[in-house]
Amino acid sequence: MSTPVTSKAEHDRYKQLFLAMAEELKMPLQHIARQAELQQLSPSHLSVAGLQDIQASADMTLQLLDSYLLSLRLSLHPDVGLRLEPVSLSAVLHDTAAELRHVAGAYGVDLELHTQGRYEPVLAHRQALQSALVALGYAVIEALPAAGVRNQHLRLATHRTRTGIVAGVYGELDGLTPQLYRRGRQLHGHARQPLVTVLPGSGAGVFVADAILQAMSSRLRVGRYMKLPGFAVTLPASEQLQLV
Amino acid sequence: MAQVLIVEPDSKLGRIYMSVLRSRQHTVVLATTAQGAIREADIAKPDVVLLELQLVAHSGIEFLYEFRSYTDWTTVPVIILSNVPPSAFEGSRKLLSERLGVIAYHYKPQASLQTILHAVENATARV
Repeated sequence: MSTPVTSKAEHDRYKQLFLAMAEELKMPLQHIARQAELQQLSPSHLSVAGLQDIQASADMTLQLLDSYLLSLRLSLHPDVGLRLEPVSLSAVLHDTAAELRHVAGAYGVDLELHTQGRYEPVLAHRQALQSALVALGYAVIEALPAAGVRNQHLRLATHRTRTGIVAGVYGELDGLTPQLYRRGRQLHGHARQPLVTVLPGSGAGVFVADAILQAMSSRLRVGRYMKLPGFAVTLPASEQLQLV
Repeated sequence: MAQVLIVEPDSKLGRIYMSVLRSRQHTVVLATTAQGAIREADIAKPDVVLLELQLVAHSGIEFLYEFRSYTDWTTVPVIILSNVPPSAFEGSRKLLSERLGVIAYHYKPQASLQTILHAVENATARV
């Protein structure tokens, strides 16, 4: 078994990512703890909705933990890499929406899927891509009510650009700009709220998604789709012959 | 019974706090942003404020400076209920209590609903 050789800078980066994740996981764990306490305080009114809420928070915590662990594993063992294969972005976005539906409902956020275009598959690692999109989606769902926006819609969309096919997570986060994201990346691990004009927490979901996408030789960027800002990744189209 | 303003960016957690305070007959309004909190305070005239410091765009401290600048709200007790650990405020306790009227500080991940209820009821007993 080989031991990865890491520099101090890399160690610092892992520590920063771990700190941001730990901060971020406090929130769904607080939902579970406080909702459970609320149910105990009024046992005569034990609510099914409250119990469903606890289950949904626990499920989302496990999802996020898996995304975080994947990004850490990929950061610690960059030589392992991910095996890329043709993946349908529409199918990944549908599955991502299914994962996020309950938590979006709990925050009063409507989910919109824009997958009308018939695009060829992209080269990606399906599970890793979905993990990245779920982490991003959760970050934006939390951010929309926290930023006090009126239209609480999360749009999961795929569209084509000159360089490839884009998968993105968009919402009415007016403060979200490429400059803010660039600065946030510099502040990540040093500031409590590196993306302070759009996210209330450490933004771990965003940085984790970026780490996962980097392992697929892609980068997360800030873009716009149908006038809404959001986080997006451009993936190369698969050259494999598409029969259906 | 008190009029409580909760300033909490996480609307899901905010609604849990609302439920428990309403179950004790308090009237509660929830704001997720600093600007929204000033608007709600203007309408609701709170007896006590529960405040998270980590907000989007404007911090809880910025909210407090703005809030205290209105004569109607100079004496309204404020309880900080934050994800920021208390150790981060060691050097600012005097400023928070003497200048900004913070009467209690609770670390949110470790603050049970019972703790929050007691804090609100202690604060309203002082008014």
